[in-house]
Amino acid sequence: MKDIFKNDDTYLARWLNGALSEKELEEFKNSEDYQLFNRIADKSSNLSTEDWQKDQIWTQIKKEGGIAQPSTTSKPKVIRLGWTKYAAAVVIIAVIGYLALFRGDRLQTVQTYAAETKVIDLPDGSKAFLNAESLIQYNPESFLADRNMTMEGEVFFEVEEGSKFTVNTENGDVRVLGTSFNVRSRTKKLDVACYSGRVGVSFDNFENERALSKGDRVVAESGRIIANLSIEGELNRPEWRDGSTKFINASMDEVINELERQFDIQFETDSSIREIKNYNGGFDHNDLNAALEVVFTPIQYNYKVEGKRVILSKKS
Amino acid sequence: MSIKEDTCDPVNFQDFYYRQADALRNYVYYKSGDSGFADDTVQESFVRLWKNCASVPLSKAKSFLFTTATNLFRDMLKHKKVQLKFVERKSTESKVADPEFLLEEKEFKEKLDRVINSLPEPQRVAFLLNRIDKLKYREIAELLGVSQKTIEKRIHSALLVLRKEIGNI
Repeated sequence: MKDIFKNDDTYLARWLNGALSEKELEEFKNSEDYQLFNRIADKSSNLSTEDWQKDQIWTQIKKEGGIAQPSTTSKPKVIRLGWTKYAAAVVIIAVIGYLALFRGDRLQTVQTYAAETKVIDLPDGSKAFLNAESLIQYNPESFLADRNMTMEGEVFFEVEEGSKFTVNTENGDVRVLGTSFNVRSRTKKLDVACYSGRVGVSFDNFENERALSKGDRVVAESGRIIANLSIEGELNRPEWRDGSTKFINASMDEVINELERQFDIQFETDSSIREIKNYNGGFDHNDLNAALEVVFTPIQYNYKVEGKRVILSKKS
Repeated sequence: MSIKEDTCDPVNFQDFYYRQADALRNYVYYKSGDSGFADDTVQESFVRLWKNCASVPLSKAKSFLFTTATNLFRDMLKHKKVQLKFVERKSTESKVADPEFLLEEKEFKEKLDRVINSLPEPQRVAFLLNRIDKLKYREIAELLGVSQKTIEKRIHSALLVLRKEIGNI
């Protein structure tokens, strides 16, 4: 058997993460063991480990470290031995507990990776649409009572009528009654657009609150509002839900990060391009080459796609 | 230090636990093949992080955890034979109810499990962190303190062993 990658000791790893060039991939697909490799890759990515006692271990950590209770939860009765006992080769694990009594602390996390979006049905019937590389986290047991969640990245919400619905981000908090709105929280920026109803945005836990009505959009950086915009006359949902991204007065750094997110690629470039400011434009998420063309040609940059890498260079 | 970076803040710490505990626990599990040891190591690593929270900001906490866990593993007196167990996530193709196909699939999964267990530890850990935990090569390299190239070599070798052993059975 003669492998085409005989002299290359990272070839299969680069195949596995999609970093081979099109020509290499074509050649590999025609090789004898391609089917078997492909099956191994598929099957292994579908494996997962068995559930473990994450909440019980957390309780034990709090106890051993003397960590103050951040929220009100009941204390489960679980006893675990420290790892040091293993060094003494003692393997006795005693779990005395009423797990059924255990409540709280159980956070539900939903996450998207690059080039992926997800729709989440929340326990109250509201919906959260996650753009690529985003995350929401909430406690399913208390959610109906407090409708409180944490998010990162970019999420569009359709909120059912009801009590206050609060979204916490690194860059500020948003709360609403029944409405639909988009929250984008990336690096230091918070960008909130209200598509129906009313929402409130705050940077100090709602001591001060900026109210947005239907059609309003604000962009804030490091806790200060830097732009008041209108989305009047636009669709009833953000562009990304229809597979495109639009930028107004953005830095090229943000544009490059969004391209990496939407296409699961990595740019290789000097840092000067990232400092270009005031970019206005956008791209569709369905065609990498078209997106690169529309973004980089106007600013006089060449691009070259090699698998998952894109190399940028200034036109001379 | 801003509050967002403060590892000593109980809310941050709890949040950090719920984000990182799965990956850490899997890492120790892949290394040791011992789920009780993995649980205890997660517990001990986080307790040590808490005790050092004043000197470890959140941005450094992940690497602190993995280093601590690696040291605990090294200090463990006896290493048992690795017996990792995996479950399959819901598969989209399993709608096909052809019994022969299902049996074949089951056998393939058993072979795969067996060969993964027999992989040398560095290859096994790199391969599983990529396949199961979906970490990028760069992320695995950072956690283990080696170069990305090293991780790529380990994964390449793991695939070669898997092909050889699964092809042979």
